[in-house]
Amino acid sequence: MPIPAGYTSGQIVQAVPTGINSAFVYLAGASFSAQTTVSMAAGVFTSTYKTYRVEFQTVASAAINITMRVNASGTPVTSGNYAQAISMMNTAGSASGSGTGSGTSLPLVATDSSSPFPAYASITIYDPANASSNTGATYMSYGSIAGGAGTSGLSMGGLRFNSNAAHDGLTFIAGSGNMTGFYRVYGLIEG
Amino acid sequence: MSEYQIQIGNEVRDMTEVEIAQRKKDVAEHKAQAKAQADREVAKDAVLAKLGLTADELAALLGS
Repeated sequence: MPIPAGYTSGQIVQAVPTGINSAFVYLAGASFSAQTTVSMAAGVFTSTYKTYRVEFQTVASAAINITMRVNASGTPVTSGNYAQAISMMNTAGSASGSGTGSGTSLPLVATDSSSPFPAYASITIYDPANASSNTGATYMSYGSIAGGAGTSGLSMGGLRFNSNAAHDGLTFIAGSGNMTGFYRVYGLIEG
Repeated sequence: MSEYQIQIGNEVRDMTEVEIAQRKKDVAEHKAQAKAQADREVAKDAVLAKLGLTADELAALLGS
């Protein structure tokens, strides 16, 4: 059977019910064990999709902060272009927030305060492959509040990489200790 | 094998010198942020103690 145009032999072609024209298409993923830095391979985000969803789950070796960077040609970008706003709610019901216009990474989630130190994040990435626009991201995460390892809670945040550039992946960074878990990347079909 | 490693996709390799330098910088930054967070918590607790309030009572007072 010939491979349909637009697909490679390794891709999983997902069946979509008749009349449903939208779907998440699995693109890439990896499991990791006791790593401090986990990066996507180059070329995960391309112009094929405008919007990508990344699901990230981990348990860590301790209560740690986990940050995120965008990749350019497979390399994490460390410049101070991570404009961000984050709203947090801990299990005591106390809300707080943080933000900056010039961060060097995005505080994504911190692992929960007690063993096994889990954390979960769902991240949506907007138009990352467009070199003529800012890459955007919004996320929701639970474990410990972002930037506050040890305080269990929910974080919701937004990121605008405030310099026009194309980005082709993400990097997840443990502030200390290490992470064990996985990430999955999906493209959102348009139309 | 170096103590500094990075996983790219499914491949784990030793970090380059540039990546190790960035890693050390990131760890230092995280430590500073964690200390700042801890200091804020201590300062908050000190204020609550001065006021004679618990964290729950403060939350009730602020309506959060």
